[in-house]
Amino acid sequence: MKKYVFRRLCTGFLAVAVVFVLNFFIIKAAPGSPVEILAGRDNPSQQLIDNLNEKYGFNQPLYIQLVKYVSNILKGDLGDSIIYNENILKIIMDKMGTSLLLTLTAIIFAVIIGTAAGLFSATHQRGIVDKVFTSTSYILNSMPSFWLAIMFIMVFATHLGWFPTSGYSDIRHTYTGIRHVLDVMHHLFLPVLTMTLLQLPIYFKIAKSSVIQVLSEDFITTFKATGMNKKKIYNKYVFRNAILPIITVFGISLAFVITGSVLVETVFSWPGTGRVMMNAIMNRDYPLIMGIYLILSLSISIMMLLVDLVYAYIDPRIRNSYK
Amino acid sequence: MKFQKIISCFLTLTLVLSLISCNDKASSNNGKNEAQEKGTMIVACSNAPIHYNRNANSLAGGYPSINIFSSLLQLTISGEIISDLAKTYTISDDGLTYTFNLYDNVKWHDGEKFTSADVKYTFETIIKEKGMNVEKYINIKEILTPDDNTVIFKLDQVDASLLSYLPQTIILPKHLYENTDWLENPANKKPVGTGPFKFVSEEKDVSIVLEANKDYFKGEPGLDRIIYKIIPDESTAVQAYINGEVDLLGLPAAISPSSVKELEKIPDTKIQTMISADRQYLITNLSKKPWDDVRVRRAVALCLDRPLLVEKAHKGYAETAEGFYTPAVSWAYTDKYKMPAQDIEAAKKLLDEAGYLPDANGVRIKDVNIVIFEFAVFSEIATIVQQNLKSIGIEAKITTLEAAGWQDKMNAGDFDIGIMGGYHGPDPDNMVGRAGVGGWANFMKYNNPELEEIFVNGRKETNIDKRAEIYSEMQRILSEDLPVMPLTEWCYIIVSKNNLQGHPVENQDKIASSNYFLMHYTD
Repeated sequence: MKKYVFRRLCTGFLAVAVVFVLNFFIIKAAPGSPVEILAGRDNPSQQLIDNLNEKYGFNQPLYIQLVKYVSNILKGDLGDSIIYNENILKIIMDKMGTSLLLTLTAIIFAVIIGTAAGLFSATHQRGIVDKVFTSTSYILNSMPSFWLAIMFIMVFATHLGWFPTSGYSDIRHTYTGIRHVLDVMHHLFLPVLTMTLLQLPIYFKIAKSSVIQVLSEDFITTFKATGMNKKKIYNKYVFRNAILPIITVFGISLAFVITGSVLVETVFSWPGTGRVMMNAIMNRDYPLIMGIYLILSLSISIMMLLVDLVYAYIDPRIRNSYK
Repeated sequence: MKFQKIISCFLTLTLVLSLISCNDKASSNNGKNEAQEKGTMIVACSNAPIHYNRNANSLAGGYPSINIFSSLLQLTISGEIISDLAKTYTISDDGLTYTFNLYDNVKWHDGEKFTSADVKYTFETIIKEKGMNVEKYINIKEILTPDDNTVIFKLDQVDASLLSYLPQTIILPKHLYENTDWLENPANKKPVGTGPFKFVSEEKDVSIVLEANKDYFKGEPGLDRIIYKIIPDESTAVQAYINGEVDLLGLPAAISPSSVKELEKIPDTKIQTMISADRQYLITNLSKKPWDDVRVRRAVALCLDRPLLVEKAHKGYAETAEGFYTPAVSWAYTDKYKMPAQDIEAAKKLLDEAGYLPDANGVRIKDVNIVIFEFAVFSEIATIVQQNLKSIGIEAKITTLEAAGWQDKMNAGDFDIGIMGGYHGPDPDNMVGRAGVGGWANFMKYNNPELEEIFVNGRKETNIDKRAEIYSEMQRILSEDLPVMPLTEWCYIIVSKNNLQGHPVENQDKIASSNYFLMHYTD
């Protein structure tokens, strides 16, 4: 088992390194540069551009830039953002809280409701509830997130006036304490609703199809033939087998939580890492983009490892194969 | 039972998370209750500046800095240069000495006295650190400060356009910036200016709060407080206005014509427009056949239906561009030389003359590539231009790119027709970049020695009437050669509650755009 974890850590590190180098070259290959953007589109000053290229070392060959950058990273310094002139870790950490509040809440809602609905649909196939769930899931799945978001704003904020359109707290009144918490939750409702509805179909479909698949396995038929209690079959054998793919998807979603959700954060003016990432890309802020992707790839490889460990914990077959 | 437990755990988690993410900061109302004397105005703003030192680069400053800082001079919406920190100014006859007499009752927001040394520091730093407009200020050889209220610029060559660029430069406090790295100075993020509003706080990606500067040297502002609310999405900004969360949609929110229709129906709301110095125009690749032939270019100009562009692409919120410079810089604009009105037959005749005869399907020129980037009205404009071209037998396709990719493609000359836009002010010298040899936006590779001479003369002449004559010649040449074809004049759309008065659009000759000093509530 220890050997396995060690091996996974090594391959994870390798994957992160490869992604890192690839990112470096892909970002540099994109048209435009942060310096050109700082100089402005109308009447850019060549002297300003030359001066900044010199300052940030962009006039040096790419491999030298890469070596310098990697040596800084190895010292544990993600560097400063060019555009914001601020430490990258600080920029990301500042917005992590609000991003987590939004995405984590939505994912947890989605996984609970989606899985529950999926299990119900699978065990009550072709019933009226199953039909309603399945068709709703199709509709939600095909809905563009920004459209759904703006519809909710128009209906629940502008038309009915139940919720604010955007932002994360009321800037006309500055509340403190419990009023502030309630105010934030009031602002949080619509974005969380949007994100939850958009994630629901994923968990619904996986839960439903894996339960159906397990139900068709030979050992289930055998259990049924032996006259085992139906409740016991479901609780002990079906659900436990069917939960595995849900854990995988949930793990991957958790890994992406740190980059927030660009579209939902933008439409609801919710401050978060998604908007930081979007701004970084739009402004070609090389170190900031690299920093975000580095953290993202690290978080994905760690999450994948955790998912595997949870697998081994739940599924004795996998656990035994490591021995 | 178990399920209920999960739910209750989860709700607790949500509560805890929201507690963590909320930094319980003290009330920013300074203890005042909501019934303030002059009131607060909330302005939608599509993105926050990276910091407030707008002399450093184009992403800094933004709209809030206009209200925090002052400049030597201001440029009004009607295109006049009026006083700001400089009460009066004189220019010597040889055009080499500029003397500015400063107001003497000016204080920085931190209480320090403002003096001529601050002005000297600001311009010397821009030149030394290569900040915004450094190309303009490089001609300043020496800056003299004979006393606290006088600044003298000594130039080593005449540049008549210099004056128009001064309003773009904010005067920085020397006592905070001297002997520091101006890019990393903490004052960039907590700015101290001399403007009508003081910086209070900023919450990144959420809001920027300014409050009235009661000691402002031109008097007390009409509002107690301005809050810029950061709303990146335009549709959300419109909904936020309708829902009463925002009081003003102005330049900082960049409302595009397609969003206005919904606002026209909202009660107690006024929608005002303001012709800007931004205009949309069409260019052709002169280094490529058939666009090197002026008859083909004229045919293109003749086929364009500019009133339709205003009606469909701009939803009526624009004006057709007629002349060859922006009418917003009124002294330099002449209506003598105009774009032709649409005349399909005349256009076809010109193409016949140039030897581009129609084939069996009526097609004269094929595989034309119109290259645009993503911007409010460009795709609608391109679609109409495509149809206009078709009516004279030119078959075109449209390629839409992201701005940086577009710039690369245009620089590489990989296009037939481009549609672009931009700020044409504050001085006609701006056209050097758009139509001059080596200009940053001369993607069409236009090269006319006669025009180059005009650009040089226009800079040397300091008399404004004589300059107007010189630039009238520029417009004549552009109208004959058609390296650029003006399409529409961009209108800024300003939406506010009826009781909010004094926006710069209502005081076009008194104040710079986006300076909210004169704004106030009427009830």
